[in-house]
Amino acid sequence: MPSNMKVHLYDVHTQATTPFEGALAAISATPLDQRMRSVGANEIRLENCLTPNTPANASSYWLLDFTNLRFKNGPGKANRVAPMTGFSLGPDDGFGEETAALYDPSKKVLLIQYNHHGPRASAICSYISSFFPGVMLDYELSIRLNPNAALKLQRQSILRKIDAKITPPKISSSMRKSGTSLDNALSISNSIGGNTIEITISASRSKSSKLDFQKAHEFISAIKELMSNGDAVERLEVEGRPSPGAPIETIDLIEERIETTIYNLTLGSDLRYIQSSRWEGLLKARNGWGAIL
Amino acid sequence: MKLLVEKYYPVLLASAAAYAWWRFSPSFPRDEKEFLGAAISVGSIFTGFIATAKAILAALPNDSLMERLRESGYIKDLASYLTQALYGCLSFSVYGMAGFFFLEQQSPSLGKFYAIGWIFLAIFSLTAFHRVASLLIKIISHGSR
Repeated sequence: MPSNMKVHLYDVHTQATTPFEGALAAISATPLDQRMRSVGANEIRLENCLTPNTPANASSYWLLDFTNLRFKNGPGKANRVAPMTGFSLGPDDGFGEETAALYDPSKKVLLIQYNHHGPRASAICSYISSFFPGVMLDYELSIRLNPNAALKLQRQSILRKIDAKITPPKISSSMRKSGTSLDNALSISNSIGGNTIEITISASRSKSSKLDFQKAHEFISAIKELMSNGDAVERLEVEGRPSPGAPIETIDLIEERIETTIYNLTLGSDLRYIQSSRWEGLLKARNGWGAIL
Repeated sequence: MKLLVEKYYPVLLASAAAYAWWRFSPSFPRDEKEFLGAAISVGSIFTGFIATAKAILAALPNDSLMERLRESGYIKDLASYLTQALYGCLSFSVYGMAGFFFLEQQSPSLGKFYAIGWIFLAIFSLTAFHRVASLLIKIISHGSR
């Protein structure tokens, strides 16, 4: 089992007078049993919060752990040589999934562990924003995108797949600004009734197969030209390898998010990654991103 | 075609025609009165068409296409094309009528400078009319499968 986690970087925006750390401090001052809030279909809680520069947390960042609580059906206890059994749960027990986060107050960025089942960034954001009844704290998290996706594409010497989704251009002000005549604008949007065009060009399944490098790049730049037409291109993903035999990399040329993978997390005896290990991972990620923040 | 070209090609073509008339000075057909009368009729037919087109456009349902034309700002261009066509054709007719008075003064012929103005307005109203007419047909047939 791979003991790693992905970390994404979010910028925290707010128009509220309370800074983000103020909200965190207020939430962590609330007793644990009153910290639960419903966000969508889930119940979310700030499980643990370490204020910076304290004996428990020597770093200058806020260390956070959010949980998604679930009191519906859940997994069972498995064993290779014994039949499946359930966990012995008390009447008020359920299941929970954890997402660690790190907040850097000086840069106003939030690093969030990617846990598919745990609270996601959007849920965390609305949890904090709507924690205090009657007070809407207006926080917004926007994922930091990688400006170097194009560079990453240049590194791929072998291209295997291009996947594009295009919305046929509708008459828009960007068309007018770019100087398309009304006559042409009407003709373009009149062509077919379809709403989206999806194109996938992929090499055959065999390991050594690849797309024609020159033609693939021509196709990509043709699609990129379309992008200047506002939101015409919804998705443009390229799969490639930097060198023969290297693992396949997927590059999202529209929304290449900044991401890092933290390896070698410590697994507890209860098969959960231990909290301190996930926090250490986030601290590592924060230090690794020092240059881009 | 670029928006800039679409905006100015009637003026450009009309200017080119006026220059060509000045350069080569061809003459009007011999019976200038009847010729002017015919030209006035053409001008008024065009004016009538554009005025009707404006009414149709105003009455078109506020569906997605009109909405998008409005949002994108193209409606300003369309309105300006319609205005140019309307006043171009109207002034072509009026210019023709004024020609009758000039003809009284400087009989038997209208002279070169009147002719240059006439060809300018003729080409301008013709191309402006063509521009609006083709756009209107596209708008009306928009969305047909």
